[in-house]
Amino acid sequence: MRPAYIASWLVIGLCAIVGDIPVVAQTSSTADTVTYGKTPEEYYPYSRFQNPYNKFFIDTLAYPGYGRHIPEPDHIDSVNIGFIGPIIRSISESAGGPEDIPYRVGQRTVRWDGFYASPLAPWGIKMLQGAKLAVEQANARGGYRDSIPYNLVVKNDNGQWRASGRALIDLAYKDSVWAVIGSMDGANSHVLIRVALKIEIPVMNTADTDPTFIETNIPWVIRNITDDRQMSYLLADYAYKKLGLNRVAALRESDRYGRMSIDEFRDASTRSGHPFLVEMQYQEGDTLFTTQLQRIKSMNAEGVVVWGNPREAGLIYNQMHALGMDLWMFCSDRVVSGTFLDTVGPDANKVAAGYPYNPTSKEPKYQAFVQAFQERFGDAPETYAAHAYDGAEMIIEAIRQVGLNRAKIRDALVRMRNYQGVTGRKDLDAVYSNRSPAYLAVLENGHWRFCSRADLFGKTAQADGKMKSKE
Amino acid sequence: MRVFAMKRSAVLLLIPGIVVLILSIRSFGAKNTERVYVGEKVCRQCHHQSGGRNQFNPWRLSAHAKGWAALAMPEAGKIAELSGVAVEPFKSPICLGCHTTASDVEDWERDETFRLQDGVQCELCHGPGSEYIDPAVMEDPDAARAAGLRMPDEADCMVCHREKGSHVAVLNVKKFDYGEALKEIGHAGTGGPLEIPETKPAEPSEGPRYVGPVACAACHDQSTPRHEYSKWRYSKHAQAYAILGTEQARDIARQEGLRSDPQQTKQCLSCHVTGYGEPAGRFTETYDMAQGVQCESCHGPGSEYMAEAVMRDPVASHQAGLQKPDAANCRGCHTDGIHGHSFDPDSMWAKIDHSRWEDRTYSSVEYKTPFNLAITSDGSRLFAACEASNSLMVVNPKTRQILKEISINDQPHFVALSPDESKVFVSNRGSDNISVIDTRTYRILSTIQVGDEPHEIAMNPEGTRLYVTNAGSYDVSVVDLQAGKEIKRLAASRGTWGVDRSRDGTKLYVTNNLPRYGKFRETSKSEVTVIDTRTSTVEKRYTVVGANLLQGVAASPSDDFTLFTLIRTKNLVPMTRTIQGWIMTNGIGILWPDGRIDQLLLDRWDDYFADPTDIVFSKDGKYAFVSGGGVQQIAVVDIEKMKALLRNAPEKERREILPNHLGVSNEYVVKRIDVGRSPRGMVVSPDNKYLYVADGLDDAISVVDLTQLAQVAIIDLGGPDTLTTARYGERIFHNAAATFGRQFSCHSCHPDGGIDGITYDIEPDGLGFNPVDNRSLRGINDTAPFKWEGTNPTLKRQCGPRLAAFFTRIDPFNADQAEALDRYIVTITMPPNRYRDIGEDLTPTQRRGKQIFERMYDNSGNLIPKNKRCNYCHRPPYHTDRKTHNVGSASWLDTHGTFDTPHLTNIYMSPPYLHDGRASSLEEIWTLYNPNDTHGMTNDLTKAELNDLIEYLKTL
Amino acid sequence: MIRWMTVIIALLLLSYPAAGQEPAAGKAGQDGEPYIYTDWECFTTESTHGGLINDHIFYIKVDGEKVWFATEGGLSMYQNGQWTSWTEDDGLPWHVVSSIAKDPTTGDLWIGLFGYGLARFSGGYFEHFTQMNSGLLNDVVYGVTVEGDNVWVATTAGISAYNTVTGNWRVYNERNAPMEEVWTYSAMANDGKVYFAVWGGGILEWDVATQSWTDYLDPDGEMEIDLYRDDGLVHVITTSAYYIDHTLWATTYFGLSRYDGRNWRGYMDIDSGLPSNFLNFVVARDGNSNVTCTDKGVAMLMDYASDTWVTYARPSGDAKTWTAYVMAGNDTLRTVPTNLSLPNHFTIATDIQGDDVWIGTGHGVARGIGKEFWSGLKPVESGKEQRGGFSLFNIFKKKE
Repeated sequence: MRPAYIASWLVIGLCAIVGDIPVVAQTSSTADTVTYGKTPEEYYPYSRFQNPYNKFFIDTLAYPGYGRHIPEPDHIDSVNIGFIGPIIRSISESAGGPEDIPYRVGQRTVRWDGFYASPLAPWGIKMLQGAKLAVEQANARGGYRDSIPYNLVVKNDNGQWRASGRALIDLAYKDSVWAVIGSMDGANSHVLIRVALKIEIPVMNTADTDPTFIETNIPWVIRNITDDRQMSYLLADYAYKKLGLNRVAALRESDRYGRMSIDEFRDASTRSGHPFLVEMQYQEGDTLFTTQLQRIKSMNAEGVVVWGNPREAGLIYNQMHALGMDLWMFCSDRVVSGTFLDTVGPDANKVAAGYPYNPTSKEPKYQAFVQAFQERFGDAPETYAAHAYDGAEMIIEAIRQVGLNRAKIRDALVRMRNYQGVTGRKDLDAVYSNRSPAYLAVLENGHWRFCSRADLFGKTAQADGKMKSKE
Repeated sequence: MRVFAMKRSAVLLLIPGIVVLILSIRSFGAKNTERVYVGEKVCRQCHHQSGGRNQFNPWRLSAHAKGWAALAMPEAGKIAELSGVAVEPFKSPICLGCHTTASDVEDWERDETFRLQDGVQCELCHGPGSEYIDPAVMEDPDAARAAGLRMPDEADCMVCHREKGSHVAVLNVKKFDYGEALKEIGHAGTGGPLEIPETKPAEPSEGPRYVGPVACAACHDQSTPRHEYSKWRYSKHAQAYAILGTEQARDIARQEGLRSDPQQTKQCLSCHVTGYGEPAGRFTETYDMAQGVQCESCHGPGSEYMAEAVMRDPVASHQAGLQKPDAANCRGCHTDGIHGHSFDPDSMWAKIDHSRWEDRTYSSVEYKTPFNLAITSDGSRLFAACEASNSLMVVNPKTRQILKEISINDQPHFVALSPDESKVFVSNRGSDNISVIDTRTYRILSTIQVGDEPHEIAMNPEGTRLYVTNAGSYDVSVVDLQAGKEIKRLAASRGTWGVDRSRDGTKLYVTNNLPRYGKFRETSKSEVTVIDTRTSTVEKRYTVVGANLLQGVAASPSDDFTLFTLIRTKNLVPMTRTIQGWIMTNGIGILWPDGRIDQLLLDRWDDYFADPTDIVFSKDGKYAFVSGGGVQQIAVVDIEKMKALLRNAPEKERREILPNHLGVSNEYVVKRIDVGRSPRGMVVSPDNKYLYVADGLDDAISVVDLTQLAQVAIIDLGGPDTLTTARYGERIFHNAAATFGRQFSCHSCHPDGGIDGITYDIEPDGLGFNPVDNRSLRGINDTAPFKWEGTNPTLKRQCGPRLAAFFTRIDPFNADQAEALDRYIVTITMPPNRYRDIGEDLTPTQRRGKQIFERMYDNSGNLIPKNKRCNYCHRPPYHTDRKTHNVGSASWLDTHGTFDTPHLTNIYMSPPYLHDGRASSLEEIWTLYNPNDTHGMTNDLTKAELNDLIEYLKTL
Repeated sequence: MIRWMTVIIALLLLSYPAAGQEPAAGKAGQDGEPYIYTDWECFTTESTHGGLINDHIFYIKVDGEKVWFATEGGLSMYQNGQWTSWTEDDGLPWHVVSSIAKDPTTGDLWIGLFGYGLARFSGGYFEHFTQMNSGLLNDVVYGVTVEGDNVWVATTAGISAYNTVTGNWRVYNERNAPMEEVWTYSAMANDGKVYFAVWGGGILEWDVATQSWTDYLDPDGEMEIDLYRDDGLVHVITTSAYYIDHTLWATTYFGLSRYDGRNWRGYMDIDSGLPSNFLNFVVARDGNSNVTCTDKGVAMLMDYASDTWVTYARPSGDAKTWTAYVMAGNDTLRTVPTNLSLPNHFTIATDIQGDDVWIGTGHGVARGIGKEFWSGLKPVESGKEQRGGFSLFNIFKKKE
């Protein structure tokens, strides 16, 4: 969302290189010490030479509107909760949910042949399965007020057509849902929440890790998944502090996901004095990356940041090694997937990716969820399923607390500042984005090892990572 | 890209060292490459060599090489006329599409080495060469294919060689035999070593130099009346070099004791190639020996006289070396007995003479076809807009003399006088403008551009504003006459047609010929639009349910109601059903001041009143007259009787019974007056004594005495006496006599040769299955087969017995009638495309759309199967492969799923779309009715990309 | 190294506001008094017996004597004390109406339908354009405006322009316009320009004469801060733009911006009469005064030079009526009671009708009656001057 502001990078980048330079000191007009997004001081924008005139996302976001006065309906047959996620790619369905979604949810995976299914569809279906499980369990517990069943109303999010907006409008005005879970792709999630703001309906996001998603001041949005900001800080610390690399290049998908989600990694690199050697792009669906990789090779890079989907990331890994480039590869959480492992094979190493939670957790609550999911869908859950499950649980809990009023449900949700879900503790910040610490997935001989900051930097991780949490 | 491409192949002509450059581009992957046509001269670098590499010769000797030149032949003009092609053949994208190569691409897609004049050359069949010309690529079949090299199959050839009615009619060509044709043009190569000799540009020597025929063609091409270049290209001279590559040539050489390849033998070349033996410095780089015996063999080297300024000055051009050839020149080579031929200068001269060209005017017979009339307040002058003769005729209705005929363009349709009668305004349907003509001098004062296919005209009382109904763009143009230009466009429904002003001058009533877009299989809903002349804004849009083809409109002199013509089409029920008047009933609508709309029929149960076209009131408002275009009659409606009937009818009957009642018209239709063929526009004389009727297909105006209510005279507009077959067909087309009870004519469903915008159930099952959308007749001759099922190979068949069986329910047309109908239909022209002028560059949006139309890879980089690419079925130039395909468009009402691939020429003109008219816009074809990519791969497109595609489709 | 330093310093200077751009220090209360709307007419569905079709107001469009209201439940029109409304039963294609524009030439009304495209309201008939049947980029339409023959539509997936004469659609998104993002939330045409508030993409300007785009972004390029007050647009999360007197007003969820073609001025709750930084919409009378809708009341900048504001808000959740706060910058000089009694001050829409002003909230609309209205400051009558001295911003901060 923010412009690629070369000038300011240049300034900061050069500051880093030439060391501190004297600038006119100006004190911030809001003299507080809280840092948004748990941003370490060294990674904070302009922190080397300028206090900003105003800081945002510090004060708790309020909704002072009218909605709380709207009375609960007299009679309803079901308590509808909306779901918007990428299931299939088809223009005809861009204005609504495809009839065959239930069928597709039943199947284990969706083959992506690029014709009918979105590349995000396999995850979209996991996300849907997670939400369904939560709803089914709530109904097994008796439903709303022990009498009315919860009902998940599903809409397809066709990213090509920015369909999430229309989908939410139908959910809100035709299906009368009370809250919505969605979506995954950053661009479409933004579309979704701006529509939610106008309708005034709570949105629980469980799958979009785009840092800017929450930086829109919309008081109706809650995100329970750790975002790329947290994951990028951990990756950057790992690359520059743990591995001690200095020369890192970037190769990212040219779409919005690649553009936005690498932002924090780029800024952290620049501000810690390791600006990317080069930032190159590829298109989703490309299969040949040698031109870009040869350029990176010629720059003697020690590592390469690859931000995109697993299919392309896997091919890049293979082609990189075919060119004799034994570099560290730093990726987004999306590569922590079977597609990537299948592509790179069992001997792959030196790949690190951020991950929003610890999927190897032995927590009883998580283990119970994994077992229930296995039984229901015959397949293991992963991040999208687990976070959607938590999200649906949070919505159901909020409805249980305050009844059927969208504004009050929103109030109840934002009160859950330290919700304990199957994916761990959710620490919502002032704008209701989960700030619980990210994990690092390191590829070792074809297997992912998940590490916390403490695992990597020892118990004094905070100090080691120069973290200055103000939450 | 363009600059790059030029550099690439231009260099290749000299040295092959360009390989690296091309490879570096290909490394981006086929997905991203833009391909450019390089022309046969580049292909020739490798494919005109000894061994198995001489593909050039057979091509140069083939008809393909003359494809472009053929468009200058008189026959080409005739064929164009029969194909509804409105422009000259060598300008028509349709003709050029099959007669030359890369005619539909933009300039940048043609390298500087490419020449349109080379007709059907290598790249039409093998694809643009820029990416595969590199020898290294060509050696690797897979790489070559990936770089765009195509190996054509029968389907590719049949795109152009499938039988075309127009070509059969004029050239009497025999049916195309693929196998035979292949033998004829076969040029399989055996490969062999490739030599590309290094050539160094020579130092220019003194004196005039040879420039080659392409340089001459810069002026002497199709645009000159004599088409010298085409004439030469058609002659043996142009093949003189290539012929040396034939077995026959080698025999002759052997007979003359020459052992070497004639194409490399001095004795042969000296006569078979212009300027052979001259030093290299005598040739400019545009010269090309492979062109054979060229202009300069007879006219001398052209470098000094080729400049236009010099050529236009006989003395200067002579001094600059332009020679006037005579028999002596020819004898230099055509010596008696050479190769066993004797030389007869006169007959030979006649063969190659290009000092004149055959008469190129095709149809000499020109009819008038008056459409609409206007009369001066003193009744002394009657103006008639004549569509066929492109003129406005002025006659004295009393003396019945023609006072003047003013030529205007194009397809004049309606005529109206200014309040002070100093000017007359004529709408020109073909050229989308209004001609403003001085009624004293009859001079055209100005031309004002308005919307598409302007029909009728009305004015505000002050005469400062003109309101024009645009049937093509579905709106109303408001013209400020002081400013002399259109100032705004008002919304209307579809096929906006007629207009009349209320007597108090404050309102305009506008009819719309086509129903609004509605839901699939929904009753037609048409519209009468009301405009406030004080504000020039739309005041009301009234819905007329169950009716379409609203055309004529007239406000009553008493201003208490408005009448308009309509047809009630029973298109939702099988044609086997005859309740409520079978297929069509014809009538009028009455719009009351409170917005209520009544409908009444003009039909009698045993004799219908087909094609109610125009409607006017007698000055006293006692009668309304309706012209019945299909029955050659005027219906006289007694207004008081009509009102009484409605007044006395119970509400339910008035609402539900009367609109379909075939038994009551005799209560208010007091007379049907016989007039001439295809009566259209009418005016009443200011003294209310006469009604003048434009008898469109008689080139006449009927004079009807309003006291006797009978035709008393005919004003002859001086059309030709002869009746051409096409005109005969036109009369049949517009005459309901061909249908049971005179219910309707061909014209009823195809007004202006176009569409009525609705879906019919004309199938024999009688059960309501297989509904089909009406298709336009404009420019369809060469798009056979016909019908959505694609079962009719010719128009004759389409209009044959089947028509009688399912449509007309009367004796089928006899052979002559069918022939005539066929001849008329093929002359219904396709208007010029309104989204792209011929030769105009594409806009960035259209260009992106074209790339999608021709793409091979989807947005995720997957190769799109051939049958899911747009241009696989919709192949240029008509953008149809003229076959049937199943694109998953069948509905639950269809008994089968395969349908004819429609042509896409001016596709924007004929919504709704798909075989059953389900898609009300081009967008809906893909947004609603292609969920599984069965009608082309489109679901990976973004909305913006789909818009690009549609903007491009509109230019076809 | 020296060259680097030069570049850095140059960039710093560029991004640092030049002295002299600041308007003159506020003297409100001394030089004169702003006009205060104390008399309001309130309308809700209940009070109009269903005349106003729905209380959730999304847009207000003044059209001469008529005032059109886009609501969550249909289209309403107020004229001479009478209400008329349209819903699906009357042919309106969809009841959630997001925006309204009037074509001054043809008299047609263009209606943005939230989630269901666009409608042309002509001669009492609604013509429906959607992403499925036309070139409209997306059915989620937030804004619509008419410029010449073109109807510009702000959709959640970019901008579509429909030419009512040629029938052609043009579409603009990241491919052919300088759009950092494509989510477009308001469109406003005036004086040869068309402005779009692009949510996340700042302000986009279309110049009719040159047929070209210019974009205005937040110079610091950061979401979580505003580096300097007057260095440019306050933030890229924009919600509306209004152009008049060659002055651009733009609202964001982080404050208000004013641009006179040369200098920028930023306004936030910490330094102005804005009760909040969460701004929904702005309409301006001229380059010196505007009406800004916030989630905590309506702020009216009455005099740019003296930074004088009158802000209308409910002083507490249970207050019966709204209070007018007369402010110089962020200092409240005095408060004046009004009879404005709408139950909630989350204001979404506004428009100006002569001296009157209309505001639309999450629950009802109100008209401020501008009896004896004056613009700018009017000299103070001696003894009338009152001073408050507390910060309105602080009050609202405490309330949360």
